[in-house]
Amino acid sequence: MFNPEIFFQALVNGLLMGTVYGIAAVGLSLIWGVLGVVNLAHGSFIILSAYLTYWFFVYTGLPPLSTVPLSIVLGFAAGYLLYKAVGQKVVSLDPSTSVLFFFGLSLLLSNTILNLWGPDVRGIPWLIQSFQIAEIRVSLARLITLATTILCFISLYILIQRTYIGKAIRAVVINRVGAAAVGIDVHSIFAVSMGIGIGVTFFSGTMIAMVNPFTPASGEGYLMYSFASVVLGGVGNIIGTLLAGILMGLVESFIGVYFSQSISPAAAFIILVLVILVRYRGAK
Amino acid sequence: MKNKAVSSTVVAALLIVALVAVVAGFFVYQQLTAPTVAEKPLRIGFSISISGDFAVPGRKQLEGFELWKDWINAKGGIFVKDQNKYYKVELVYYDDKSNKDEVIRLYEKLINEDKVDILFSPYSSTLAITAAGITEKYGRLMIVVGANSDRIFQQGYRYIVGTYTPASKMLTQAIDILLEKIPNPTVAIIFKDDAFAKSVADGAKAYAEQKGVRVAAFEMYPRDAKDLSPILTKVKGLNVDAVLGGGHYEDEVLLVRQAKELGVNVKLMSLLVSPSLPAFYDALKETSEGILAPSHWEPQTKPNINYGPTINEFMTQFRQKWNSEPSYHSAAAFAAGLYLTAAIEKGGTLDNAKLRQAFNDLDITTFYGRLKIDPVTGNQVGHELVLLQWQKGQKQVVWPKDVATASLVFPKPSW
Repeated sequence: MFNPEIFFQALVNGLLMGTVYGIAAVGLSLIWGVLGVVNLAHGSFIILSAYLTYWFFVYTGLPPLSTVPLSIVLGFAAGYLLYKAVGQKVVSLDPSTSVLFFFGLSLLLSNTILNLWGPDVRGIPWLIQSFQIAEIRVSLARLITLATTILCFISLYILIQRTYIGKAIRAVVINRVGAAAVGIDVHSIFAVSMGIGIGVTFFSGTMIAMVNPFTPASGEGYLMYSFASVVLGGVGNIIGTLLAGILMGLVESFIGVYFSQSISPAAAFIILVLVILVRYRGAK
Repeated sequence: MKNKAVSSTVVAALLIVALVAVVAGFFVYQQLTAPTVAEKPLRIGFSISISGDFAVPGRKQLEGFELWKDWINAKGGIFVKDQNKYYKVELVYYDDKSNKDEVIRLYEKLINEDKVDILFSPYSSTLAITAAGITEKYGRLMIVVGANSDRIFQQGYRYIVGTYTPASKMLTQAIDILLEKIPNPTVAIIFKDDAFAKSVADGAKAYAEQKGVRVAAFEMYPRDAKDLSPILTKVKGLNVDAVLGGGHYEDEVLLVRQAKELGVNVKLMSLLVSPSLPAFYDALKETSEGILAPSHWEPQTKPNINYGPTINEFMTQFRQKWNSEPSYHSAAAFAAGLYLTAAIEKGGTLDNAKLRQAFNDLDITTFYGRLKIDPVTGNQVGHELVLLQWQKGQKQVVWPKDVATASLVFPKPSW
């Protein structure tokens, strides 16, 4: 009864979607790890970027892929300025206040999106095509998204691993006080990290706009997936977060094909709970 | 002779006096009993989704309510016989953010604090069934519009009145078409985890089985699904003739897009709600070709109207007020207002229990179509759906044949 076509199709589907879940979560993970705050406006940032990509597509007619540099720059600027303007105060307050701040920010953003673009469902009808390799269909737009995401992630990884800024960021993640003691300007590292975090989040929003339709209310769903990926992959661990997202995509795909898609969120969260149990036991 | 003449003059004079008195008395009587305009308006309360998942249809529905209010107030209001007064209409509403908890809070507030007279339901079955729980508790009449899950009408509620064709009938026309076109068809029914979509799917499954159509897959996908490739991969392997189902907006557009990407080729594909809006085509362009969906109303329909404005009058006034085209959500909302007006006129009262009774004897045809309820459940039995199909970037009515604007494209062109 085993059908290799269906198996490999499920594998391809899972990888293509999982990469999107993964990259969407990286920004959340980075900000959470470095600044110690949970960005509840994460989903709204993703959707804001998706709408900007849509806007760019409608007015220029250029492929949405060409929006990538713009969305990264805009995201970085938004994150950096947000930290400089209010973030500095928010981070120094207790965690519950920062959660409230980001919750408020998310309401502000989603209502702004609603008023700017209206409540209609939007999608970018770009490359709704696929090609076939041995009975397996691969969506062209999703494959391009996968390749672009891998490139973006490798650049981010080099930035974090090989540059001074990256080393400073990692130092702050490991020990904030220690980092300050050896002369790292923690506040500017916070600002840069927030910039990078929102920059990656904006990038993922552009990727999502290329493959999925969205409404001003779509952010919540992505926040939920991102949250799960960060907890599963490790707060501040960007590779772990990306892989966790891919795992979520694969689990959803196989459960959906071999059992029922209606139970796939439950299955994904059962795995999440199991991982937390095992990890906590390991830590003790 | 003389006496007689005098007496006839007197009689004539008396007759004239009497006549004048009768006429004057009649006028005075009329003056005294003439309907007056009530000091307080008739307050109709509801919550509506201005933001959140249901913001698109919610806003369209609200535009319909507002236009009805203008229309009835321009006519002087609604006449209530037992008070001999004309009531102007006032709408009291709040944004429920497409959220159940908000709906509970707002309907409690509308009834207890705002003290509205009658209620309309929020948009969507999920929210309407929640609101019905509250209105029923207080024995208040609610006109259900923008919601048609059969479950709303299966709770034994006694104060609700439906205006949409029940969800269980939304895909039956698509199944009829399939039976007419091909022998022994098989279908896959896939739907969102949601009160409305479930009712539609259950109704479609029951109807298909009753007609001898094989249902090869009957599956639900999660409410927040961002990827429908798993369910579509499964359906592709079953080689069915038709895919029926869906849910609302984001998920249905995703369903069409991924069906093409995965090469799920079927002869007929009918969704539930998104194809009736232009945004559906904008998000998919030529990928929308041949996709079907039921609609509660389209301007091309030709009902034999015996109550309220004509389709043309409605269209003109709507465009004037909102500077946009009405959707079936707007038309149904206006019609819900008309339906209520007719019931108040017939019942001659604002007493909610008596009004609910008045609906039982009502059978009217408005520009939106026929309206008649089942006396026990309050569910709509008079109203009929039409079927839409996207053809070369145009939304066409293809079923029933007597109101069709184009002939059905069957089978659906392969992707």
